[in-house]
Amino acid sequence: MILHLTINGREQAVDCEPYETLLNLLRRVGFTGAKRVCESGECGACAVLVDGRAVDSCIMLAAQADGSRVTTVEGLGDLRDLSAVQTAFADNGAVQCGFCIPGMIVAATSYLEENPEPTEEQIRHVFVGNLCRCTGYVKPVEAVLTAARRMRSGGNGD
Amino acid sequence: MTRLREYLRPNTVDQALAAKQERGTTARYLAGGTDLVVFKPADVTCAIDITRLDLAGVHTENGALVIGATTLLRDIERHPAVAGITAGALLEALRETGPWLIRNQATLAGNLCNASPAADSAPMLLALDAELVLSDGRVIALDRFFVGPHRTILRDELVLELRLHPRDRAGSYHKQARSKSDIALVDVAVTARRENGRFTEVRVALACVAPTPIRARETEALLEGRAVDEELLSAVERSVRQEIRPIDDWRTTAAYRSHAAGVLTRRAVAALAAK
Amino acid sequence: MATELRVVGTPARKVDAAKLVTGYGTFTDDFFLPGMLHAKILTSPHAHARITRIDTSRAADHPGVHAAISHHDVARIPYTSAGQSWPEPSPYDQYILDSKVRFVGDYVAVVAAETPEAAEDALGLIDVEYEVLPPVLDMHDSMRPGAPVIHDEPESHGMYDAERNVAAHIEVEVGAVADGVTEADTVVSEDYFVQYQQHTCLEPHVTIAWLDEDGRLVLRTSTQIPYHCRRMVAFALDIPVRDVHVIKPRVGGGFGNKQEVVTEPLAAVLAIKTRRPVKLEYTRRDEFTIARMRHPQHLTMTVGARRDGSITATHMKVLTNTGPYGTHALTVTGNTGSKPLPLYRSPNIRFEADIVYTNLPISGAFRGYGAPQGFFALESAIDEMALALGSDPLEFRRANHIRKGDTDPVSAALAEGSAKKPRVMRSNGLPECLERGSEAIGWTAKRRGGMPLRPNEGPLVRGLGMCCLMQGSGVAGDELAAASIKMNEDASFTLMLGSADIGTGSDTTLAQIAAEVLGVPLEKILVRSGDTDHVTFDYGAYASSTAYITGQSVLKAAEDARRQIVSVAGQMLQEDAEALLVADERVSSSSGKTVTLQEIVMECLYGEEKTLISGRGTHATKESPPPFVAMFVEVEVDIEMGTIRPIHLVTAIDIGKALNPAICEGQVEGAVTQSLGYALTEEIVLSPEGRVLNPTFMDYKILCAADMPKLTTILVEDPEPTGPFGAKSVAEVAINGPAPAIANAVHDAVGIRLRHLPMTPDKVLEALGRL
Repeated sequence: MILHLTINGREQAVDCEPYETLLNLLRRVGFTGAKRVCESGECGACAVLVDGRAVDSCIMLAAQADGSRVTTVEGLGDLRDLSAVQTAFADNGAVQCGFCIPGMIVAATSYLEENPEPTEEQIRHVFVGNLCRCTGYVKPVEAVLTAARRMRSGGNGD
Repeated sequence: MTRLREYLRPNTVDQALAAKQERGTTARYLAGGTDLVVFKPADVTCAIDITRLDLAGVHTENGALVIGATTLLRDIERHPAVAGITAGALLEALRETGPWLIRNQATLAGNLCNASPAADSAPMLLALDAELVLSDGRVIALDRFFVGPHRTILRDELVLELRLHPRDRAGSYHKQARSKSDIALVDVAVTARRENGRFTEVRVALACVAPTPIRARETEALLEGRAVDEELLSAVERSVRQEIRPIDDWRTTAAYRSHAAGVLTRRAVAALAAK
Repeated sequence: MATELRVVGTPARKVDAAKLVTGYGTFTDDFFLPGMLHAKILTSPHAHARITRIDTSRAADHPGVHAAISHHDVARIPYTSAGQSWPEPSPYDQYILDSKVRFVGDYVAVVAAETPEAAEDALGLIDVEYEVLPPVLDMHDSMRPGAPVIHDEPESHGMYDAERNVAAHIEVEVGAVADGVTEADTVVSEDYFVQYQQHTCLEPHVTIAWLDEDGRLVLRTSTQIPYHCRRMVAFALDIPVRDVHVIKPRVGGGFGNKQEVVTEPLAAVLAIKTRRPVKLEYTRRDEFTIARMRHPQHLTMTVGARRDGSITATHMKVLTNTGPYGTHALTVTGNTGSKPLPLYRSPNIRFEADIVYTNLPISGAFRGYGAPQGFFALESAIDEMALALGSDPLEFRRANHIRKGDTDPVSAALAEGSAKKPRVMRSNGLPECLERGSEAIGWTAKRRGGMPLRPNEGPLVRGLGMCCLMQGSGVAGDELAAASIKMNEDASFTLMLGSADIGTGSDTTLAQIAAEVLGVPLEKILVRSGDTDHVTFDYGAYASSTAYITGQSVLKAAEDARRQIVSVAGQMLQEDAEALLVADERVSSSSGKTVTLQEIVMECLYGEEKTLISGRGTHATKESPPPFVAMFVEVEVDIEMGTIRPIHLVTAIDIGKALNPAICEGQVEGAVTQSLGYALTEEIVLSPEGRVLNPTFMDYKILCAADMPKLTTILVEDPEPTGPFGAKSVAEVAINGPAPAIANAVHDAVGIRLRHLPMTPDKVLEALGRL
């Protein structure tokens, strides 16, 4: 079946099987930022935005995203133009192996749009579905607080 | 291994029903899809996406809260009417049904149709006299909807909406799990109206202690019309343990579930009395 | 060199941070070759069986399948998958594909096909017949007379006693522990039981194998040990080492699970057979069933002490379950004794261990490498002894721990490397760790002392617990690292490292060392690492070796390059090279003459006397200085529900020198979190037939962000003379602490001793007599 999606701002027509997940489709067309870790919606490493909502792409059929706008971590910033959230993660030691990070950044970016002034507890609640084995979550949570502060004061910290 | 061979996206309820009736058990309705893609049920080769059937939305109607079947959990949480029900205990229960990411793509109705014995939303919904409105016109109380572990009364019918009847009840919800990201070991929800220091219209509901989420009706009867004191709280703890049938599994033992169910119910009732 | 450090010691942004936060960082699977095939493995449903007949021909004929192979199609060469130096101290008891299966999940056959779906479908077309054998499903049964022999094949070798299912055996004594026990006024002796823990690296094991244009085997793989991998795969396939090229891209976590060749041998065999690139990737279920796990153990810990508080004897006896293969069998359990036992001064120390085979999941290397198990036993026993003597556990530890200048006799006897001389503690910041850590938790003010619950106290009771820890920095006498540095045309430098950054930030830490010595900002160091064709040799990421050992090789390489730079500068400035200073991207004399690095390199490449600035350094050592930790935790026990909630955990850690404080803190925070799971929620649960019952993230419970207590990390620096800029290791040591610290805190709160991990609510209630 042919799907029509907008991925990171660009319209694309992609052929896929009914059983293919959105994660597998995204990775196969070159967006490898979303990671394959559990394929059961438990760890958040595959998180992307679909029509502005952060979701686990490994448990969404690609077909469900037909006609939708999809944003992956690659669409949130660039190597030399990091977003505020990306900058905060990079600067405060929140990134160790990096495998969980795209999912965390997608979730955090989306959440800060809903709630620009989060508490630590709220951020931890949002991150319940983003598992990490390297950091103990300490610096990632701090990074989101830092990004929120900077965004409220109008900069992105670069 | 069966894989999906067909993905349909009907525009009307009739189209959806026709597609399902034609294919029987080889087709499944899909809203959020989170359970379907994970569990890959055997012999299912067709997914019928019902998100275009205009079944999303929350509104109040004669005191009832009406939730469309394809409403995402995140949208239910955000509806202004929800936070006030049971002074926040319903909201707490909804937020325990899964992590934030999952709640962005899963539906409450879908969660109920999955009918896990451990469904975190079920106890509070049972305690609010939830009903499901089906496409064939039937209105089914939630405690008759569940038939067994992962089995409901549904055949080819669609759930159209969920109705809750809070009736100004206060509520208390407790979930015991190994971590904040886990299926419950025990879930308890207690709701009641309070008049002159006594509880009326008491509902006590639990998950993980029987093949389906259940109401503990004898314990409800024990509380009905009573004022809460230490003796009653101890009686509640004992009564709940009599009414439930928990099992040993690798997560924990029946003995622990039984003990914990009693303690949590007592705490829920005590919390309600204190509010 | 400038006396004030400019780059080392700063929390510099990691050199790979930008690509990781944008999703551009390429891990093994973020890569695709035309014609790449997908491999799927057929695994055993039985814990112990012979494959009496296997026919893969129907699978081979399935559309899209390029190979379907069994033991019939692979040379029978015994090897070990354990990534260690040569000769490996692990038994050679594995075969790429075997005619016997030894645990549920063991490899039976493998298929490579054009799509994952075709490969999956083909697995169902493989015909297998098994002769099911009685299994050994409990390590206490492994050595019983008449127990089924798991390795009865003649070709395997290196097992201590295969007939009795003993993979390895250790017996070491210093002094005479029997005498020490007799001399003691008080003896504490108890049994401890620790479980299978799984690493849950977010990135699963994955290898893409192909033959390059010269017919050499290329392995792009998620590994901690590129060079060991190359050697071991070459051996297992009987091809020359020079024909194997290992590429380690970004790795999404290792923690020891990737200190083995898990997916490489099979992927290699398929690539050679099909002449196509082949990807073999473990699913999450595979990670929980057929990857590696932490060794379960049954420990008996005995401590004897005099009334005056001096220890007379420490005796640790261990039974270890290595699973069906002996990977890391001897060395992990060696560490169970060698890392904890030297911590407290005792004239009589005995360590004995049997590491036995079972038909249960495979145990292997896991951060801490045997030490978490040993510290759980030792630090629980020490706590119990302190209280039995009427001492404050903090004071008792203060009085008895190893001091700076002390010699550790245990390490000599047990050392897993070739060094047989005792370790001398040249640095030891433990006193400062105890001081600052105890203050941070509020030790004196908040300890409860196991007092009985007062009637009007609610069900929530708090308590404090502590432990001390030590580890090592590399394997003494059994490490080799090398680095090389070349100067680029724009006065930047390329640092080539064989070390493996698996998320530990080693690329960054090592680049900081180079930048410091060369007087340039960090951005001027480009790091290339982990590709066996293009970088220098290194043992890889394990044993907390990289900062300490590879760091010294980088220091030497940078100093080598700097000497060359200064020599050229001396000529350019007509000054004595000895008197020149390198800083701020230039070389300067005390008289004020200066030349930039840019000018120097242009002179080198294009000037009169052409030369190449290229620095080399290698490092090997018999030292393995321990980092020290004092860890304190406050818990809240719910005596009705049995839950243990950690509130605040303080880690005061002496690492010699924090080369990058943010990275050091991150390592501690991550290690502590893994160990909180070990202590409270994580365990692989097995069916009576030996099958894993909880092979998902939902069912195997690691901590999430909302479960975390407050973590305080205090970095203490007692400079280690043998380490680069005084540094010792940081990566592992903290993982040893949370389990005993929490067990001790629970005792402080409610007076019960928990000796079985994980400390789940039902165990708490049973110990309290409430269930």
